[in-house]
Amino acid sequence: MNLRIEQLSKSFGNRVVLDGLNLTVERGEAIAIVGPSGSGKSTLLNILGSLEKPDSGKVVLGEVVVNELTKHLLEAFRSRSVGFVFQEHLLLPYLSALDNVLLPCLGHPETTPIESARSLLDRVGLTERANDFPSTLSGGERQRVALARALIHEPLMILADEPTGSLDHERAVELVDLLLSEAKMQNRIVIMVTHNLDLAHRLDRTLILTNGQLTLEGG
Amino acid sequence: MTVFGVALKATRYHWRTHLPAMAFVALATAIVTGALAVQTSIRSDLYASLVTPLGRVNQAFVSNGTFRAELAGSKEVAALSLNATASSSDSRTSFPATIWGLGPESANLWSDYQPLFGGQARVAESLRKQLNLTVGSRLFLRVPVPNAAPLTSVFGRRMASESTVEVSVDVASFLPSQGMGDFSLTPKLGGRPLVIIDREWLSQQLKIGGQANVILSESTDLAKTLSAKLNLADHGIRLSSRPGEMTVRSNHVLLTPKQVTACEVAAQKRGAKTQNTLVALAEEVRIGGRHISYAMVAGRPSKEPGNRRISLNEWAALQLGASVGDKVDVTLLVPKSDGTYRHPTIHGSLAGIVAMKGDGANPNLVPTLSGMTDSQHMSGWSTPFPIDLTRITPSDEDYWKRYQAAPKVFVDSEITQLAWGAGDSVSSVSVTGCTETEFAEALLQVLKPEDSGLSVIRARDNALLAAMGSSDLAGLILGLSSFLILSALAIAGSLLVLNFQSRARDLKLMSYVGLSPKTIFGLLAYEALFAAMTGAIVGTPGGALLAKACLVLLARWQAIPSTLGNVAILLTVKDVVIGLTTSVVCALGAVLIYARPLFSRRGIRRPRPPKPFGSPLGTVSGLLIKSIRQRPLRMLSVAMIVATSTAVLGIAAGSYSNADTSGTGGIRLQVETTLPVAIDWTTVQGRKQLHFDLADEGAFEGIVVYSLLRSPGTDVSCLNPAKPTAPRISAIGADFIHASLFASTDNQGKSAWPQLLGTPTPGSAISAIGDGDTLEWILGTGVGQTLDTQLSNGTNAKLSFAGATHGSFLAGDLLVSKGSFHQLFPDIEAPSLFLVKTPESKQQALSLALARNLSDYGVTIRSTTDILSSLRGVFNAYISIFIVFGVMGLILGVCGASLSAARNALERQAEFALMLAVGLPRSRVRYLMIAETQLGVLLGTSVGLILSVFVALAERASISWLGLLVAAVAIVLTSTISCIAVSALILRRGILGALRSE
Ligand SMILES: Nc1ncnc2c1ncn2[C@@H]1O[C@H](COP(=O)(O)OP(=O)(O)OP(=O)(O)O)[C@@H](O)[C@H]1O
Ligand SMILES: [Mg+2]
Repeated sequence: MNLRIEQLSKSFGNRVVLDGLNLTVERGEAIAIVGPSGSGKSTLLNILGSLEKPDSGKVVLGEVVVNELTKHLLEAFRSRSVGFVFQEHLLLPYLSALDNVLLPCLGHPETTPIESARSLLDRVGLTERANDFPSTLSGGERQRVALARALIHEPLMILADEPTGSLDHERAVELVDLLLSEAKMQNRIVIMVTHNLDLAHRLDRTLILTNGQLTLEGG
Repeated sequence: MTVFGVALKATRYHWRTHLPAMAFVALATAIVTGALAVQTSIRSDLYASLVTPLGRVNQAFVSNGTFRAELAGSKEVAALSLNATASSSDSRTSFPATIWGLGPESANLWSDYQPLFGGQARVAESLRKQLNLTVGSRLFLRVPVPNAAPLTSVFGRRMASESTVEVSVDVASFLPSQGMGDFSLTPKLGGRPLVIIDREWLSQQLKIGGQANVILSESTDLAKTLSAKLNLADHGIRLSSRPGEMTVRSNHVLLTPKQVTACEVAAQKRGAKTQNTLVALAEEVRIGGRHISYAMVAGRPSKEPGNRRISLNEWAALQLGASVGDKVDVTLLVPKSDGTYRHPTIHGSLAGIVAMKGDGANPNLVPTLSGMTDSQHMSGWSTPFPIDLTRITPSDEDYWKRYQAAPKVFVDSEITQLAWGAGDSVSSVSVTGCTETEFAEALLQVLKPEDSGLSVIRARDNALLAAMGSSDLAGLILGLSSFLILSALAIAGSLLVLNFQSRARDLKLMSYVGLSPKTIFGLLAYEALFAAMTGAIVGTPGGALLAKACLVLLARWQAIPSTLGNVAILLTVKDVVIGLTTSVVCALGAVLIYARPLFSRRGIRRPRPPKPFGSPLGTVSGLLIKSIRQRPLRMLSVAMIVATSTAVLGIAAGSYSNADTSGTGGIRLQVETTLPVAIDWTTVQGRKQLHFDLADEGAFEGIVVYSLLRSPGTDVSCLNPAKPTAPRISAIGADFIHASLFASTDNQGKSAWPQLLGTPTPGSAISAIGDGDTLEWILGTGVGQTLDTQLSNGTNAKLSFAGATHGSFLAGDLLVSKGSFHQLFPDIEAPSLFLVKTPESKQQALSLALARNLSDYGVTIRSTTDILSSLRGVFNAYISIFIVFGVMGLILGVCGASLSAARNALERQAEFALMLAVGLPRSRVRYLMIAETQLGVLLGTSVGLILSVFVALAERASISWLGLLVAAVAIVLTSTISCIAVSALILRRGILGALRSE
């Protein structure tokens, strides 16, 4: 079970952003993607998370060719197999930490996994703050709530786009370690975009995105 | 955690930002609920005034005359109902009242009925106030005697003092209004106050013991139950037999034409023959030097016009020493309208002498004439006309003793008709050739109740109909405010969506964490629903307040009776539910429409990147056109609200009806009397006969009076909030028609008045003229159309409207000719409505003089300008509401305009920030921010102005140019100021912030 990316291309107008990109990531592996601004890191994550469609190429997760899924299955795929963490810790201000974690389950009230949400908060070290509202949480705490939310469906793959952007170094390290432990303990794929090479080096591999191609750092 | 729950939390969290939207929903809800509440409250009040007083009464059987009280079955109540005047011992004026004689069995129909002893009365509250009565007060009632001779005939008692009986009663208690005190067979608000007394006692006072003229019943099919029980006496018919013949007479002096026909048909069935007679009184019959005085004359129809052959009975011939062929002079007594009598002499020749048997000595030919035929002696006669008792000789008295009123003279009925006025009257029908029982049986079979003026009034059905109200107030208010409601809800919807758009980040997040567009849409829809619901719920009590304000204002402006201003506002579950659903559904609809850009077919739309703006050095107008082309609806919706409200204001302001006096037709006073006045008080002689005070004569100089016959029934004008079920009908004479007081045109534009003059053929539609607005809005008919309606006497009529008047003070009546009126209301013979032209200087003196001298008749005098201004008040009140709604619409329009400017500025703050950043002057940017909206306002204002001018021209209403100009300038100015204020706010905060975040 792994993630395979084959000959992935994407351009906006005549501007080529991804150009025949290839990548394979095994389960339990956490990789970092770095690169200059505008190089297409977010675009790549969006395609992996099926928020955007590639012009050509394949994204295969396990047996599933993600970019060939029908609209209906795509939705299910996104909510079951992918967890997003963003730079800004996007939480709904009117929901408690616990409810924010449960947000992806909205619309399926019969299977609301309150217990697993609690244990996720436990895992990110926020057991005590379950019923607190975002306005009373610190930036790092909010980002950990966002991470817990990304994990609620026990996804195969966590996509994190500059998750540490608004955190100080100490908190950033804590979060990256959390991501890493998710990959190792829960056997997930973690792909994190960052500008911070120190943080990138804590992960298994660091890849650089330039000219629409991924190259291994130092390779 | 459910979608519902999260949406609820979101609503709670964002309630402050939803406040404006909720306020607009609340406003719309208040208007809808308020309009419905006004209607419901008025209806419930009308119900309490019109239906509740009926107790358990469903139908009433009524007669022009009287019938046996025992006709009423065990579950029914026999009653005597009479219009009367009431005065107290210390009041100098008398007031109209309706007397109801009822018995203890009335407790079956009214649970709160209190039995009365003879001489006791229960009196309506309104009369208590007028006469300042207390329990135990003495009340004097002037009650007309039923079954009297026609007022206009020689035997008619025309003076109120003679035609009425004064009964005095003690006030035992008072009748509550909206209870039995408002009881009336024709649904009417503010009708004559009620006085209830014991029926049996009243019938004795009127010397008609055991008689009644109304049967009240719980039954819904009274006609069927009663018509089987009717006997000839109930038809007012009396059969008297003498050897060899029998005579049919009416208890009400004259037989109706239909009764005469029925007699003929019945006789034919039995192989019998009939002979009609119309009696009159001869003052003198003279042959040569000898004469007899005060002889009854029997008129018999002959087919030759101008037949002057006269027969005498043997007694008269002997007295006069007459032999066949002698010249005979018969001097009759003929009433004149001024209350005096003519004495025309008919010259004829003696054609025969009738033996003193059969017709020659038959007192049954003469109907009962109270004061005459019921007198023991001729010298005991009490006649309505002046009589010289010294002319009565002992042999006259002897004749009276032997033959009573048996006619002594026989002439053509053409001659006796002179004493009765126009028509073809019959006072008795003689039948020969069958037995009394045979004939009575046949006659009863042939006679229909309506032939004898008997009919059934469906009192409860009529009251229920009337309680629906004359005009659809809810429809009117909703119609006037529909654009307001819709624009308020549209604004509310757009505000809600604006709130959602400002939370684009949250929406994006939801889609990133994998929520389906359906779920996200559900969240927003619920949130919109909660906000709308909250607004609607808050607005509902506002509806009650609005309804109260509407009623108070309408009552203050006299569009509805002042009592309705005090009505308790009723919020029914139905009205509340309608108000809530309407506003919530419409607000959600608006949300759907406005939220569409947020969703694409594939899911949530990403915020679009701002479209390339072109060079900032391009012309500003070019930029404006581009931005309008991108979102044309936004500008158009502002334009639409402003256009509609400007038009509403412009049209309404032009429609205000000012103090135009053409509706009086030059008439200054409207004089109404409770009892018809059969003596023409407009002549000097008439006033003398009526014993008017000589000192008042000066007031009557130079007056012109039009006398109208008037039926009971309901005011059909907009002053009556109840739906008229039996319209009030007035009969105008040729004098009125020729005077052309009011313009009334038919559909061809010709004067419609002459069309009333033709003699109507029985059975065909009757030509009538009514007020144009009344016809259109209240009766739902129009010129050239016919109206089938029930009349106040229970009969049905078909009225065909030849024309309509406009703005006349007579809007409450339908006008027909006197000939037509006689067909509809044969028992109403004398006028009770007088329209008086008088110099202004004398108006006051004349009013006082009439109030004093006609007091016995129960007189009410109003100035026509007062009537007109109250009629106009109704119209103006509606216009005022129109204007209030127009102004509210404009406020909303301006709100919408600034909102639109705000949205424009917010959505494109990046653009504007850029423009500021590249050094475009602030004023330019501001212009760009508000120009789009202002263009909408300008467009709306001009369209609205053009529309109102167009409507005003089409309706030939006056246009207030200045008003329109002021309104237009005000609209443009306020919207400009508010837009500038809004954009300045955004310029200061938003754009610099936007620039920083770029
Ligand atoms: N929807 C779009 N339409 C047009 N161009 C786009 C769109 N999304 C991204 N781009 C372009 O694609 C390129 C890659 O963008 P992307 O957001 O992936 O860069 P990035 O590597 O994430 O940069 P950064 O580190 O600044 O976040 C950029 O030049 C951007 O302008
Ligand atoms: Mg990026």
